[in-house]
Amino acid sequence: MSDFCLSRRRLIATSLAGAGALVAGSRLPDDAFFGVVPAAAQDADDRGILMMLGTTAQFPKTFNPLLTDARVWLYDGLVRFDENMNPIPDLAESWDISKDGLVYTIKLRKDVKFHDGTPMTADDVLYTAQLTLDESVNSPYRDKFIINGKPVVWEKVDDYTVKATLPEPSGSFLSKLSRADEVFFCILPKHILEQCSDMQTCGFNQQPVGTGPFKFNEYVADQRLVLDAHDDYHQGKPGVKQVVRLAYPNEQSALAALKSGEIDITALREAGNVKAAEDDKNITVHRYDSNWIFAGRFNMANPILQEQAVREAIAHAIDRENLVKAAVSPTATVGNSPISIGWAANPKVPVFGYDPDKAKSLLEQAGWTGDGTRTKDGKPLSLGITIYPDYAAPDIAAAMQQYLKQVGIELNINQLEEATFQDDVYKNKNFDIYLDWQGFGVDPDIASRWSTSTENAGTYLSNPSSYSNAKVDAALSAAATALTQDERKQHLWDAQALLTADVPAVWLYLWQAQMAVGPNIGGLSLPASTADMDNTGIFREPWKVTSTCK
Amino acid sequence: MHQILLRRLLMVVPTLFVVSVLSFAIMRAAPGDPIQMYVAGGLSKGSPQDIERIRQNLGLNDPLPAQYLRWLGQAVRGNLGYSLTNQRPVLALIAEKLPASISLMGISLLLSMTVGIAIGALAAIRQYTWFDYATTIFAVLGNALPSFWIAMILIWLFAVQLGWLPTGQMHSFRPDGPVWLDTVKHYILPVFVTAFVSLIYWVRYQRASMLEVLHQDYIRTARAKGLTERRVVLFHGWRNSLIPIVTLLGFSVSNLVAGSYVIEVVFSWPGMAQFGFDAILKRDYPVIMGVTLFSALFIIAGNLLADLAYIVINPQVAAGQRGG
Repeated sequence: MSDFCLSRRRLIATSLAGAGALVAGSRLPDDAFFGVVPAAAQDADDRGILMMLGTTAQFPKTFNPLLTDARVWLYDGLVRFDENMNPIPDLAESWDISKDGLVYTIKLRKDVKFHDGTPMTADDVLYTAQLTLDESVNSPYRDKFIINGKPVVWEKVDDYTVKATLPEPSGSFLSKLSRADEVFFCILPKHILEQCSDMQTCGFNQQPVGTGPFKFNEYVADQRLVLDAHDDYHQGKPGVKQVVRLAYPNEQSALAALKSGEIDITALREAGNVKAAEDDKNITVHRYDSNWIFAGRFNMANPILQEQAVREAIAHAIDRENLVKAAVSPTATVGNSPISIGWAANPKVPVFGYDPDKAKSLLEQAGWTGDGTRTKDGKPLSLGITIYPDYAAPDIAAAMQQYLKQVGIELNINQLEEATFQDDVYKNKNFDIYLDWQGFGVDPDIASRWSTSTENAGTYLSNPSSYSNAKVDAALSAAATALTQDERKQHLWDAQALLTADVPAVWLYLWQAQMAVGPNIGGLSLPASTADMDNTGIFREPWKVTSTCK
Repeated sequence: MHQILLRRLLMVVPTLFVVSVLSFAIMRAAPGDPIQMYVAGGLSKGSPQDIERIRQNLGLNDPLPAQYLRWLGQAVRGNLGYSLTNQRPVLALIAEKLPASISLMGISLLLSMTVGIAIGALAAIRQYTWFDYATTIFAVLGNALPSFWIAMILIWLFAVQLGWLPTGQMHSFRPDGPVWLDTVKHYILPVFVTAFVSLIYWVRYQRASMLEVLHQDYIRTARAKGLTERRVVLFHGWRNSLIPIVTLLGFSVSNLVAGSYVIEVVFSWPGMAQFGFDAILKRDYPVIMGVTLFSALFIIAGNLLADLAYIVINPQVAAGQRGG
C-alpha cells in the first residue's frame, strides 16, 4: 500500500469524530462536509474504497432514470458499448433482428439480480419500457421509443425474452437500448415501482434500486453520495467495496486532494489545473472530445445573413484555432461540422479557414464597402451576437467582435441570463447570431437541429435559425431509416457536406472531458466517447476498478 | 398590548397573501420556461414533444389565475409543492437550507446590534471627540459601499492574498485542524460583512437617540440630584434612548433577509437565499414561491419581535397607553 492512502485513513477518522458529535446531540450543520461516511458493510472485506470528486452540478437531483440522468453506476441497460462504440450485450444475452429491420427479439440474462435480491425478468424490462412511453410519467426521454411519431410496441415472449416491434426501420434502435447519454434506458424493478402512484413524488427517487455494480447507501444533497458493492452483479463481483463521491468547492481543492491521494479521480476544466495535474508524475490525465460542438449559428431569416458571402466572410475573418486556444483551453479541438468524431463524421467537409483578406474581398464583391463599419445602400454591416454566460462564451464573443471589426463588421454582444436566452433564441428567434452547444449522445442524430421540419419547435433541440435545405432534409431522413451503418454513414456524410457548404454557423470547439486519475486505482477501462461516459467519471466497466486504499 | 399584538398577528395572513400574489405575478412575467431549463440545463435533452407534454402534465399551460389558485389551495394546507429541478418537496428542501441562513443572520444580527448600540452610545457620550468623528466617517463610508463590494474586497484580501480565511462555503473539503475551527473560519467573513452593513444603522440611530435623551430635562434633574454620571448615563439616559432604537430591529431583520441574497451568493453559502437565487435562474416556480414566503415570514417575525421588545422596554406601552 502506498503512502498516499495514509491521508485517506485520516479523512475517515475525521469523519468518525463528526459522527461522535452527532450522537452527542450537537447537530450543527457541520456534518455538512463529508462528515459521516458510512462504514462499508464488512470490515473483513479487503477490497479498497474508491473516492471520487465531482462538481455539485454532476450530482443527480433524483435517482430515477426516467426523470433525469441518474446513471451513477446503479443501473444497467440491455445493451452497452465496447471500446469502439459497438453495441455489446449487457442485461441482454443476445438479440435477433428480423430481415425487414422491424422486429427485435431480445433474450435476457437469467443471472441478473436487483440490489434487493429479486431476480430481473422480462416483466421488469417490459414495465420499464411502458413507464418510459407512459405520457403521465414526465420522462424527457420518451422519444427514444417514438419513431416517426409512432411508439415502439413491446411484448413479453417468455420470462427471459422480450420482443420490440418498430413502426419503421431505425438504424439507431440498438443504441436506444443502452444507458448511454441521452438514452438512459435503465432497467427498473417492477415490484417496487408499481407501488408508486405518481412517479414525480415516488419514494424510489430517493431510495433507488437497480441492477448495477453498486447499490445505494446514502446521499446528502450537494455533498456526498455513497454506494456499496453489489456482490451479485451479473458481470462479476465489483473490485472495490465502496464508492464515495464528494462534491468539491472548487477545482484547486479537488486537485490538492488528488495530489495528496485522498481521492482517486476528479474532472478538471481550468487549463492551469490540468497542467499542474499533468506535471505530477503520480497523476494521469485522460482526455475525451465529445460530439458536442460550440458554435455560432446564423439567423437565416436575417436579410444580411441571408447573403452567403457575408456568412463566408465571417467564417474567414475569425482565427478559430487561436481563439479557442486562448479563450477555452490549449488542448481544445476545433471542429468543422455538426458531427466531429466517430464513424459518422465526414472528414472531407469544406473548411472555411482564417483568411481576413478573402473575407474583405468577399464583402467588397457583395457590395459591402467603406472604411470602419462597412455599409451597403446606406445600411451598416452591424450584427448582434446573443450569448449566455456559459463557461467561455463571453470571452469567445469578445474575441469574435475584435476579429470581425478588422474586416469591417460591427458585432454587438448581447449577453442574457440563461432562461431569457432560451426564450429569446429558441422560442422568439430574436437574434442575429447565437452561441450555444450543438450535439447529440451516442447516436449521430443531427436532424432535430438542422432539418426544416423542426424550425418552429421552439425548444432547445430544434433549428431556431431557420436553416432550410431540401437536399439536407432528404439526406437526413434517408439516414434515419437506413438499416446498416454503412448506409447511414453515406447519407450522414452527404448531409454534412451539403450543410457545411451553406455556412449556417461558425464552428468553434468540441466539449472536452478531462479526467485526472491518481495512482491508487487499477482496472481502468476507458470509454470510446464521452457519450458512453457516466456522469460519475470515465470508467466504462466500473466493476473492474480496484483501489489499493481502504 | 394584547390588542396590538393580535392586530399584528392578524395582518400576517393578508401580508403573505399579497407577497405570494406579487412574487407569482413577477416570476411569470419574466421570460423563460422551467421545463426548457430543466431539460436543457441538465445533461438531458428532450424532444419538443416531450417538453410540451411535461409542461401540460405539470399544469404550466393552464391559465395563470388557475395555476395560482391551485398553488394557494395546496399552500394553505401546508404543501408548498415539488421543486421542478430537484423533484423533492419544497418544504423539505427549504428546511435543509434554513439552518445555514438562520445561523448566519442570527449571529450577524446579535453582533451588529450589541456592537452597534455600544459604539453609538459611546459616540454620543463622547460627542465631538475623535472617537465620535471616526464613528461618523466610518458610518458614512460603510453606508456608501455596497455589501457585495465589501465582500469581494475582503475575499480578495483575506482569502486570496493572505490565505488566512476560506473564499466561501461553510466547510472545507480538507479541514487543516479541528472541524469546529474550520467552521468558525468559514463564518468570519460572511458574518462580518452581514453585520457591518446593519451595524452602521445601529450606530447612527443609537447615537442620535442617545444625544436626544442626554439633552432632556430629566437628565439635568438627575444630575442635579447628585447622581453619579455613570448612573445618569446608564440608567436614565441609555435605557430611555433604547425605546426608539428597538423599532430598528424590524428594519434590521428585513435588511438582513434582503442582504442574504447577496451575501450567500458571493460566499457560496449553502443557505436559503442562495437556493432561492438558483431557483430564480432555473425558473423553478414552486421553490421561488416557497423561498419568498419564508423570506416574508422572517421579515414579519422581525417586526413582531421589534413590537414585543418595544413593549418590554417602554413601560408606557405595557400599561396600555401607547406612548409616542
